[in-house]
Amino acid sequence: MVISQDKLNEYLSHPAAFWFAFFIVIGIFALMTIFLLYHWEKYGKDSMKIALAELVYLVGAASFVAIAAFSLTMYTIS
Amino acid sequence: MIKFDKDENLILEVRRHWFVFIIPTAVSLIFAIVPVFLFSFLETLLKFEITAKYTWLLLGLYGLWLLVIWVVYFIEWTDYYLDVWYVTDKQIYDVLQNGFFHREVSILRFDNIQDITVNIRGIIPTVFDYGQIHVQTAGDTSADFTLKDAKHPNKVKDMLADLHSKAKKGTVLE
Repeated sequence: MVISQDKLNEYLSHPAAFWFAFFIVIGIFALMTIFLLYHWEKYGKDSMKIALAELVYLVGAASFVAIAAFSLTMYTIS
Repeated sequence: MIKFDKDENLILEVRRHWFVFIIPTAVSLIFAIVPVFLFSFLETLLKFEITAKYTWLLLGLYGLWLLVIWVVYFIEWTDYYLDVWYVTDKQIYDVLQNGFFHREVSILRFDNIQDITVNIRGIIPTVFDYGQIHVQTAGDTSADFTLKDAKHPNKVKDMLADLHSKAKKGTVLE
């Protein structure tokens, strides 16, 4: 399969589209995070385990959001 | 959170064995790794030069992909963690969590237990000591309790049988 470099360059030269996707994913992530934290806080019985789960989840998620945001910023400005 | 009576004490929490959670973990890892291989072959497959600019784009999209996998993995974990039996000195609370919007809590008093069956099937469940516990209830209206892939099912069965006999004698429930 051969794709013209120029054509692909043209498709990929719209950072706004990727930022739009970024914010859609972040929106869904925020909603799911609210659901998850609500369930853990409301129904979890072992507060230590729940606190650990929250820490791991939020640190991991923050890392992935940071990687995505930084990389898309570099893509936009380069 | 389930509120127990003031004079009610939690004896045991019974969950599915951690081994059954290896499958969603492995699937998540595979989904996380696949794009790395795809990126490696992208240049060769598409005969397309990936410049530094596009590397940033791919990395950004990969970060989003990992975020999606991370959230789905924790949704699975929530199902696993909140799907539980709480055994107190008075009764069993069977909590069934199925996704975010389906939660059932059933209560079974020990004196309503008619029969307890343990079913351990296969090499892995035998080695890791997990299996199905089925508690049959007395009476037509109450449904039976079943927990699949429960940790140490025989120990749980013995404990339930013991609590049941104490309840029959009237030493647990007063």
